[in-house]
Amino acid sequence: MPAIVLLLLNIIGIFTLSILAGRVFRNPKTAAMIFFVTGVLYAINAPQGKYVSGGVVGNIIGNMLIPVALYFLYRALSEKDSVFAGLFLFSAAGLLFTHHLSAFILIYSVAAIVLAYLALNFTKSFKIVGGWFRIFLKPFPIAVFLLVIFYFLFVFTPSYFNPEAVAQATGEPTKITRFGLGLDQLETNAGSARLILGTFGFALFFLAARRKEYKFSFALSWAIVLLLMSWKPGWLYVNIPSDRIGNYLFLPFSLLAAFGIVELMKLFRKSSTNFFSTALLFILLFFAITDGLSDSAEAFKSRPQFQEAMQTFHSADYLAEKLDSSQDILLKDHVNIYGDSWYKLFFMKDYKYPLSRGNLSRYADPTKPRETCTRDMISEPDSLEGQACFSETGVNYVALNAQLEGNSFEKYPDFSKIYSSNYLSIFKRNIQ
Amino acid sequence: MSSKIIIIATIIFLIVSFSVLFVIETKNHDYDYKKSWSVVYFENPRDNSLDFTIENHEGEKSEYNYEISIDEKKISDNKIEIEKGAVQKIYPIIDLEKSARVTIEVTADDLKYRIYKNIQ
Repeated sequence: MPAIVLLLLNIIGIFTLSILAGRVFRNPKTAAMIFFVTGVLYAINAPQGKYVSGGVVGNIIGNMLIPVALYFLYRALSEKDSVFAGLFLFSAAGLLFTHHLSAFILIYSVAAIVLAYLALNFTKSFKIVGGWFRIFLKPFPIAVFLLVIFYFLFVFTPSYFNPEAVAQATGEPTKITRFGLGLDQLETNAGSARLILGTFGFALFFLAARRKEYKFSFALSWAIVLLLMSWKPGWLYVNIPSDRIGNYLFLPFSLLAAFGIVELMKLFRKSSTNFFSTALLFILLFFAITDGLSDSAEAFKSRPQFQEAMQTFHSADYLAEKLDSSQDILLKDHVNIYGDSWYKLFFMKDYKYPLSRGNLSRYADPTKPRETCTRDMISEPDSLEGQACFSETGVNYVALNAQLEGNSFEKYPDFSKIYSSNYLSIFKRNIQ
Repeated sequence: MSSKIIIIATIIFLIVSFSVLFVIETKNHDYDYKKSWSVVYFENPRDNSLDFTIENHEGEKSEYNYEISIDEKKISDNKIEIEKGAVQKIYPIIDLEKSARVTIEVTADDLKYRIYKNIQ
């Protein structure tokens, strides 16, 4: 059920991107082509489908709300409509409450769009800013703004809304995972067909569109700022894992790829040699479809893992019922347990509960030492480091894959084994 | 007119495909539908109680053999039949005079499940 709701949100996200494309490029064919570059290509693979199966709620909602907010902003500015300005503030605030990374991306995107538009219309910039004030300083946007401020101050303030969290996310990159992605990683994040077609669409739009119009800034600045944030984050003082930012690249690049395909088709239709143009179009679409679908095909499991997933859910249900989460600390193995991300849903405690052994590469960072306790308590529970970690973190329950560490853990006398299924073992630490 | 057809067709397709997905997902989220596994666990992991539960999700009625040992020394050996999808609670009565490791080993066909507690 939760996965199906996420799938529905993901599909709505594709629709919102299509509506935005239709509005920016003023062409229904481009809006329809969005369904091809986001719905058909990479429907299963990163960064959309895997969020559905992985239960990444925030990103899915973020992918849906970013185009919505930009759509309202585009209409507010281009049509000088204060109702859309209010809706922009409302959807942007919704994003702030739902997913901080998406909100961060939206803030950078809006800043890039606004600055690019002002730079391209430099001589009229004061007049433009005055016009924006006239749009936003109307009763409806002001009422929405005040409502949002009231909600922030008196109902619920998001935990990351403090100077410390902002300082952590901005500034010079502090970890190796935040120094930016190479071209191959960008390709993995956006999808090679989408990246190539998007780059082509970018070049075509850059040459064809009038630079002083809003659509020029919206389509191109959005792509440029996300590209810089994921490729050279240090230039923009972004201190967030680059691959997480790279996952948003598909949004502007899908827009540009759809535009690129539609324009290519027009070019081929106008071409004098029918045979040559048809052959070229066929080759292009063959590449786009096979490349996009093969990426998705790789993401499919060779066999369904419902049995493992259900055992994971059963163990989570058991622990949620038997443990006192105000006293007991649980550590689970994210590396070898399938569907373990859903554990959080059974406890409904906070983001860091239960603790999790992450992918092993995450513990190696030449730029600064990383927390290793979640790894050591599973890999070497008997070592001095492991023992110190248990004392430090208070972990007294460990959930493991039964076939892997689940068997080897039985040799440690400090633990009782309280749960055993085909797929999962749960241990309780006796020494407090 | 054509845009209305597109919208109506999209809504119908979404409703149909999501209904099918709901049915498939509901079936797959059944512990017993096309699955074969069992689980053994202590009823009270936080104290010294040895009450434990066997759940049969093997897809058929199965016979389970369970042995209870204290410090590797077998003290009881029993058999129990559990219906498909059923949950069987077992309440062993053991009188422990000193600290020991109590192990419960459950076997069914070629499957083996082991749980234990270090009783203080």
